[in-house]
Amino acid sequence: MIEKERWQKIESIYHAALTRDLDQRTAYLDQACEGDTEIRREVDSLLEFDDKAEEFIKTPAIAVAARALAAEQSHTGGPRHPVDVGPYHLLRLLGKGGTGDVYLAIDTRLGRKVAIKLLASELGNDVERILRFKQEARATSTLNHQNIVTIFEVGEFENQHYIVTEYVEGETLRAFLENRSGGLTVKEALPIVVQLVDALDTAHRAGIIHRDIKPDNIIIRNNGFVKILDFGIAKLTSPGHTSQTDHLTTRTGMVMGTANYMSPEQARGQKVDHRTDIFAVGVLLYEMLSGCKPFAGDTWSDVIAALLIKEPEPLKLVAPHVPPALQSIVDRCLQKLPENRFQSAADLAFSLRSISENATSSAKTDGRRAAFLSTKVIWVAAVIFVLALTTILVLRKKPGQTPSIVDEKKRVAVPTGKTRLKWVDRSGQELSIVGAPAEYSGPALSANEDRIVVAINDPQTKSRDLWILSGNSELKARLTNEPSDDLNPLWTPDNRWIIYTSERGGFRNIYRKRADNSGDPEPLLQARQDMNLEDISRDGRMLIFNVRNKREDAPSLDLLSLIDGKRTPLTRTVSRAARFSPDGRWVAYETMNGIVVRSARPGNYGLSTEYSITKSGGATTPMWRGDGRELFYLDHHTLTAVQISVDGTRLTASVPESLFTANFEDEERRNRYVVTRDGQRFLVIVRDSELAEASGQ
Amino acid sequence: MSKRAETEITDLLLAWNEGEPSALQELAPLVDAELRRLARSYLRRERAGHTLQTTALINEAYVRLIDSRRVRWENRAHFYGLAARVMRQILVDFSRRRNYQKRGGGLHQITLVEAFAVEPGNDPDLLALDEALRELATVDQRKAQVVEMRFFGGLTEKEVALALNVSPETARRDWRLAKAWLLRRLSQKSK
Repeated sequence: MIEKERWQKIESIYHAALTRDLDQRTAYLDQACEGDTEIRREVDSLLEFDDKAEEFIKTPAIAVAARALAAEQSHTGGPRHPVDVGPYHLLRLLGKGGTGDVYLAIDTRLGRKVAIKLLASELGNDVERILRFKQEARATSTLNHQNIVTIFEVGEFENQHYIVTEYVEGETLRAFLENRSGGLTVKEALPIVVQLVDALDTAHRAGIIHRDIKPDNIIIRNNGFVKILDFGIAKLTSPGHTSQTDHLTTRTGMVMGTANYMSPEQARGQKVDHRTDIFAVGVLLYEMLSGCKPFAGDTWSDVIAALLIKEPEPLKLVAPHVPPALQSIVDRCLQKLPENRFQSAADLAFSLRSISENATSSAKTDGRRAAFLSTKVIWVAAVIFVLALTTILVLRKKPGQTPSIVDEKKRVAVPTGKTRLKWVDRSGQELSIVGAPAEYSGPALSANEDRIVVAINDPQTKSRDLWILSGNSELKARLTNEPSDDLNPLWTPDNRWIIYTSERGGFRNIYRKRADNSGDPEPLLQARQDMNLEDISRDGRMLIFNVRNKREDAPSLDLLSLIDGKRTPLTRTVSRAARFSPDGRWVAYETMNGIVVRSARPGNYGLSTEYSITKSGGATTPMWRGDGRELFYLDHHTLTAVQISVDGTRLTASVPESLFTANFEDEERRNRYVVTRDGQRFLVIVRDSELAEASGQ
Repeated sequence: MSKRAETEITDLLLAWNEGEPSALQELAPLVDAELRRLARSYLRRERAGHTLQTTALINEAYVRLIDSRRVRWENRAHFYGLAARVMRQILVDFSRRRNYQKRGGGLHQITLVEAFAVEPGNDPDLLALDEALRELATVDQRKAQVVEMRFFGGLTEKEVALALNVSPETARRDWRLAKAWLLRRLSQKSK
């Protein structure tokens, strides 16, 4: 029998078999296959799959592809969660907390990364939980300390309660400890714990207790900076608040907090005060130094029992490298009775600093594990050393600031909260400073590079206005003066106009104004949506800006032709900080996966190739050299360059080269520097600081 | 998508049919836009947390892409086959590109390895299916065409029957056997 006939026979037996009931099928097949075992096997196996194929390819291919795309774009944690909460576009799950899950999100209005905590929706009707959730927000938002995570917003969207805070990149102390089994050295542990205790001191003075200090709530940033998260069950102790919050914890006898880091009074469900945090610091220090928890047990009740009854194994046995003075600090924190502990975080901080000073000065003799010390820890240790030498008053005068540099005269550089505009060369060497310290953002150079247009925040109106500065003198002129924000300025290539983003119409729209300050602002593109101007092409014909296409969208990029006013989408996924290549053929921009370049041809969105310049996210602000052969970007605080070559329609980038690292301002801002056409000079916005005398103590 | 764009697609398909290869390149972004629109609706659906008529949405997408009303009746059968073939090619290319990117060989590395908000679930791999479909075509050309039209082209049983000039019953039986055959082939491969 030839193949085709066999197949036809299989097919007809198959369909005939399907019309028969299961119990009669075998008999039918025995008869129909006439002993041809091969045909029988084939029919049998197809019949087996017939059953399973019921749902197979039921959904058309375009839906399959769309679902794959949706899955890819959502990049999120849990199997089900909202993709947008108000203006926040959720990107991925960061962690799960007692009161809700925390996600990394984009604030689509500002284009900045934030952390958003969503109160678990099944608890949406739990008044007590909501109260506690909001309490966290109120408590934290009253604090202003560099080591306490900043809270941006508390809100509710479609019955979803949420808190938005700054997004802190780094690892939790938990992860940090897990990577170093056996505990940390004194020099590693102290900088972390001193920052923690400083923050607690501020909180306690404001009448706020954290009540849940544990390694999971402490984030260590790459530069060694510590941030405390989750004043999740913080309790307000100021008069007037006590009765309101007390019932949360004691009415039902409910105890909150992680057992391992609880104080005895907390475990008993008794009234607690700020000294409960001091106990937790003791637990934390003990664990950091020894690698084991002072009160451990297989079950929750074992831990509680140990906590209430037992004394921990003495530190000198489990961590002999710890100096006696530090051991006694830990012992004192871990006293069962609050009145036997340090009575304030300030006292504890003071004692820790004196240890810190000794530890640093005897660094040479403590060789143990020195090889494991990363530079960032040394850096923090240096700061702590400086702190120890400096009166705390210097810091108190400027809350929220960190001293960072010390010179021979033991002076410290204290950030002023302002920024400076300065010219640097390719090695980061300062060439000159432009203007006075102020809050600068988004500088742009005129075509002949002799003038700068920049947005400066007016502290009076708390909004940004545009100024034109001379590149090499102190001359400056105010271009806009309005109560609404004006930002993202650019020069037209003929130097006659400044194009910029203004919120004067209620939404961020695009306007232009004559650079000689004659005439009023003229709208270039107005719509009831927020847009942020990104760049103008060298020929002056095309603008690119970021926009939220719909309420549920993260920022994406649109083009505007200045010739015919036609507006065209360029990207559909999260993208911003776009710059045209000098020949106008390409656009470089920032995505969640780093810097990419794609063709600037309007309408060619979707399937046109995105060339990745960086391997991962975190890179921002691409800028082209005037000949298009080099692309710069910021990798966190490091200005980085790649060589670009174009072969026909293909674009390739060289291995990135780090040029210099500077104290660039706010990582979430888009435009923190510009580069001259020759690629030799950079106008950068860096944090301003001033030297303060350290008066020794 | 505007009325103009719908017209454009049909015109491009016809142009491609008349031997204009560049028409395909221009078609791809339009299919892509439709695909993204659909993807967004999946994301929105997750957000809103309610089910919606997926079928209606998909049908809408196909109607936009393949507007047969503009095609003369006698050419309609031919047009269906053509549209399905173009859709297959574009969607498979799309998947190939994304797979390539995911493997890291591409230009856009996926660095986050996480569970997805929208579960692709048991969706077939379009590349593997395309390959299996080519094998099926060597065994039984018509059955492969039925799958191409229904799965890739989003056509109904009736439209498939019309395009292939067979009875709807035959189209239905072809579809059933082809599905079993393909699923078996894919199961063998994944072992």
